[in-house]
Amino acid sequence: MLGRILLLAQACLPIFAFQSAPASGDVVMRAMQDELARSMKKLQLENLQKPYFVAYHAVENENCTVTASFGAIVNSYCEPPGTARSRVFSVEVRVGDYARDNSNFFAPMMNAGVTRPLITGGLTVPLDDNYDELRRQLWLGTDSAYKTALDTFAKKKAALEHRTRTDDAPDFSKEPVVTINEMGSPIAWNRTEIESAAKALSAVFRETPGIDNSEVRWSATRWLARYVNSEGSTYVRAATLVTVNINADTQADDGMPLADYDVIYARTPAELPSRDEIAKRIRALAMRLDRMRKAALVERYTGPVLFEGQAAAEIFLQGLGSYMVGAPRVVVDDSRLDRVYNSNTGLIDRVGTRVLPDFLTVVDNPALKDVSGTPLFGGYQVDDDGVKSAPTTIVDQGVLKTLLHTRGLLPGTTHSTASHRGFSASPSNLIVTSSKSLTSEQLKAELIKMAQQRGKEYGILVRRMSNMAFASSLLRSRMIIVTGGSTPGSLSVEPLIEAYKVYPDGHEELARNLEVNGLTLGSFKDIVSVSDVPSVQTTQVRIMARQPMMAGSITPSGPSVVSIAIPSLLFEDVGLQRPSGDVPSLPFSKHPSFDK
Amino acid sequence: MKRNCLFLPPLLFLASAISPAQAPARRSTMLDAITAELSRSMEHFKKLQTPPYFLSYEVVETETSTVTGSFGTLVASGPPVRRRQVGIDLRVGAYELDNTHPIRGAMQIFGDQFNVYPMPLEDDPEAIRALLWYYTDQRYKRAVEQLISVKTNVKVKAEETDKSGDFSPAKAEVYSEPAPPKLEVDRKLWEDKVRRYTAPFQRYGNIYSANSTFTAEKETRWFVSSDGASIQTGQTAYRLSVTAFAKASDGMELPLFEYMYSSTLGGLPKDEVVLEKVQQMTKNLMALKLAPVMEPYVGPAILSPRATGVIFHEIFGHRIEGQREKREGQSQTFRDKVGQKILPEFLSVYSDPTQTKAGPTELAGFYRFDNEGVKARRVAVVENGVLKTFLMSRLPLDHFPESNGHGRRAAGYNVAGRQSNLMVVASQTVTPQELKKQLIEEAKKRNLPYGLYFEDIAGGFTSVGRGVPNFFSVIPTMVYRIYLDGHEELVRGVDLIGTALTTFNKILAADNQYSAFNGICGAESGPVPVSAGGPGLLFSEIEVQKKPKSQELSPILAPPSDDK
Repeated sequence: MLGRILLLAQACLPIFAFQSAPASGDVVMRAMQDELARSMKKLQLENLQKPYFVAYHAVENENCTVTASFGAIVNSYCEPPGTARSRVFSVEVRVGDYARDNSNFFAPMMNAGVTRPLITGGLTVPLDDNYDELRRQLWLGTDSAYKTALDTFAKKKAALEHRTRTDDAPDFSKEPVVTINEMGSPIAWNRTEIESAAKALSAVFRETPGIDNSEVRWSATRWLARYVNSEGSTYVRAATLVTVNINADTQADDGMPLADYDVIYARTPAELPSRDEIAKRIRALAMRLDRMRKAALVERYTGPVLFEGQAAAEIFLQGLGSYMVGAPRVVVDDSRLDRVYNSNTGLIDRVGTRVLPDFLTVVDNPALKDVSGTPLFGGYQVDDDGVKSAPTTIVDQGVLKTLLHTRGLLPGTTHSTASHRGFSASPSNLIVTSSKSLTSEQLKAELIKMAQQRGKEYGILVRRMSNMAFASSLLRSRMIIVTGGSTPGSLSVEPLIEAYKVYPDGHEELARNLEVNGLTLGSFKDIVSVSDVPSVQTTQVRIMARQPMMAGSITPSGPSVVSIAIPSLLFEDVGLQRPSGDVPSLPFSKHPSFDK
Repeated sequence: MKRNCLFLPPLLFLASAISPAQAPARRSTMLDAITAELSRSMEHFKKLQTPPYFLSYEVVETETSTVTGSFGTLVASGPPVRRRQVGIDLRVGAYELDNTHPIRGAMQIFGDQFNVYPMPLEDDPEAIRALLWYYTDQRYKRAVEQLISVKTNVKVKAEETDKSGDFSPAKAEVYSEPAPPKLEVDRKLWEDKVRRYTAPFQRYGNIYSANSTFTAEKETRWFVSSDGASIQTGQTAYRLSVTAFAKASDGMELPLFEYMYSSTLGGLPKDEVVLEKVQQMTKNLMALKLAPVMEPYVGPAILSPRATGVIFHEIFGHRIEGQREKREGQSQTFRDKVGQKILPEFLSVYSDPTQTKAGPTELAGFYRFDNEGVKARRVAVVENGVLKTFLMSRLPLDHFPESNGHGRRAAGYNVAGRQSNLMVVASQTVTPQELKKQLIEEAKKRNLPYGLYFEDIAGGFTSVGRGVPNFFSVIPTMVYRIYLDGHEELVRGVDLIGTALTTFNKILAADNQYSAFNGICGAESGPVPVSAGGPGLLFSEIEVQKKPKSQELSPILAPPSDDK
């Protein structure tokens, strides 16, 4: 079911006229609006500045997570939908003005105020719709945030007294006032059914002697976010996500650790594939891993590499995607620490230059629900700051146009890209399109041709690549030997899971434990060809450009996943190698169930 | 090195379902599964060059239900959460020197300090054994690595003071009691109760936090070892806390709390009793707001029985935990004091995990076996002022080669010698009135206008490492000046400080009252439930300092409810 959007263009409404509030009987919303109005009207410490902007963000969270291993439940926490187990408020208070305020500043200090939540998003408030108590918590939270803001703003002004700021973008953007009600899919789940599914699915590994440890984690979450700000914007936004996460690990015959995973996404339990279908995927995963145990090692390879499907998505997101987000430069109290807090400002210096070949274009589109029928999971109609989502062209025909950001502006920008998701800006749904492509057969032939031209015995084709967010979910203290990415200036990306040597006659031979070495942002400019059919993947991205926790850091109120539609990518030159660390010995005995 | 001993709520709590041991129940699937896997592993290990000399598995299942209210509303309520975790003690080397021996001069590896792995919540032997095997393999590989480093380290470093070895043999106990009774939690009822317990605070705009948390917990433990031990025990615990804080006009924070514990739901106080305590808390908070700030003071003081428990737990109890006397980095306060007088002759101290009650108070530090499978027993630590022994885990100490059943840990940590129910008893006592008279006499002797009375103390921390002063600090909440004419005055902002040995020397007398205090103690082996109790005590001299004051002002705006 599609989300319903109510968008009322409110040109110049008086600030506290909330006649069109989403649900008039909503006590939480009413408490937020009333305390907001009082704060804007009365909150002032002696003759210091009043806040120019206040926003409240409330998140309710319902979750069901069941983990099973080898046919038995290991962990189960499951509340029925409709019984929110937590409600968290974030308070954002800004003093100064849009051009220069208390944000984008870092000095190590405690928050001020009586209750002093550690970060701005730390108020735990009544689950009951008790108007008075909701307001009491907002009152204390606002008092703390206001005092902290005054303190910060004074320190920031002092720090800037003797410095000339090179980044002159305003601290906070002005955005249209919106009233949005995005209700998402209705969701229901049943604990007994989920437990039985997780058990049965994890029991598939009882038939796979080659796997040492495994886990199936079934999880469903519903978020409900409410937002009001002093400019008059409000939204109510519900989001759901269901995942089935499968993890397995073992050791190769020579002792090297091997791990693989699979994640299935859906908006509701009903949209998940059938249990048989998932079981089939688990068997495929186990078989892949088992075959890997006996596969050959490749000592070292430098040459053309073709990334297909999941691997294309991962290399693109881990390499380039995590830099497609920008954060404003932070003024640091102690300028010796400047580099610590401004070490990753994304690709901001490269805006206007080429970062990809001229046939590739990248658009972030939060409003998109699917690509030719395949669902996307990173989207929303309104971001956490109450900015209505719209497509952003990040890379146009190879040239970097802008970086994704929140209302904290980057040099040269005037508006948010509606990318605020929880702790920072983040991509949502990335669509990579190409003006020139080959069929997958042609692409493979191209790989072989390039390898031959370089005098290589074979080219390398990668089908699966690891991702830290998933691969580390099994509790494994088994030594992980990683050495890749150590060349100075290179990007650190996760090891490859499934790679093949492709010989001139087209036959493929499995290669295991390969790591990417020496990948740089420049490597992406040298993508030579891509496939005609994109693959749609959903995963998690590590955002490199993050600000220290401060005003605007809010509890995530939706899934933290990113979806991407991306063709297979043929890189001209990628360095790969086996890990060079110590290899652990094999287990002291066989697995008890297979020790016959 | 700080030993935090916060007697404050938000930690898990476990304790005693005190029903006499029944005839052993039929063997549990869990015990069978972990025993079978342990035997299989030991068989396989035999073929290896460095086989373990000891292996034990301790599986702990907890089922917990928690409900929290604040100012008359519900802020947290979840369904019962069930968890099973296994702790693995795998040792290579020998009792004299094994892989757990501390490596001097090296950073401790983070992962080695923790010992916890999730286990299936179901009695499915195949799944249990599969995970157990996987974790055992990891522990084994790590243990072999550790042993190599240990052997080199002892060769290149100076000789250690203590030569008693790394582990002691213990009797292989076989015991099984039926599973504890089902958790009795009517969530709706308790949601309503915690709302009611915190509703009275609503009236006060200057009380900034007021919470009540109810926790019900059921714990089942299964322990097997390569020595042949096989133990199954179970307990339930019900706990209720109320905490609140206000601020004085100068910004000083004034926290208060109440803590109630029972092994049965029926053992918790009735609503009227809780509400009475809540009312007293609001009164005390308002009185504290107006109370004068205590100046630095050196002079006589009385500790109430409740305060005695906390003080002894902090400044004495932690120093008689065996490992404190062993390791080179520890202060070893009492290592050479065994057989000597360390307290006045009229005081004795014992630690007794088998004791279930002190007067009307149920004791939270009860258990039948410690976390190393050693049977719990009463340990007389100090008899008539003379130090006799320490609280021992299976980590031996020169002249104390055996455990006395005090090897404890919270799930996930490595075992250490810890307190259970620490009780101070006096052989000569006076009435509280007489004690107060003596206090006034002492004050007069020193030309002081008053003595101090510590009615309540909220716990604190004590430091036992070397390289830092061996001080302690506790957080007194309700303290009174007792003037020479006998009248009392509440004061705020008192911080009790001192060093352990000098403080003990200054005890003059004890009263004939007795009170025990339940709490959670956090130290190197995790938060464990403990009790501490004793009589009221008169000290000839204690030292107090000004409490560091919060610099935060009260809120700018009036509470929303008052701002019409």
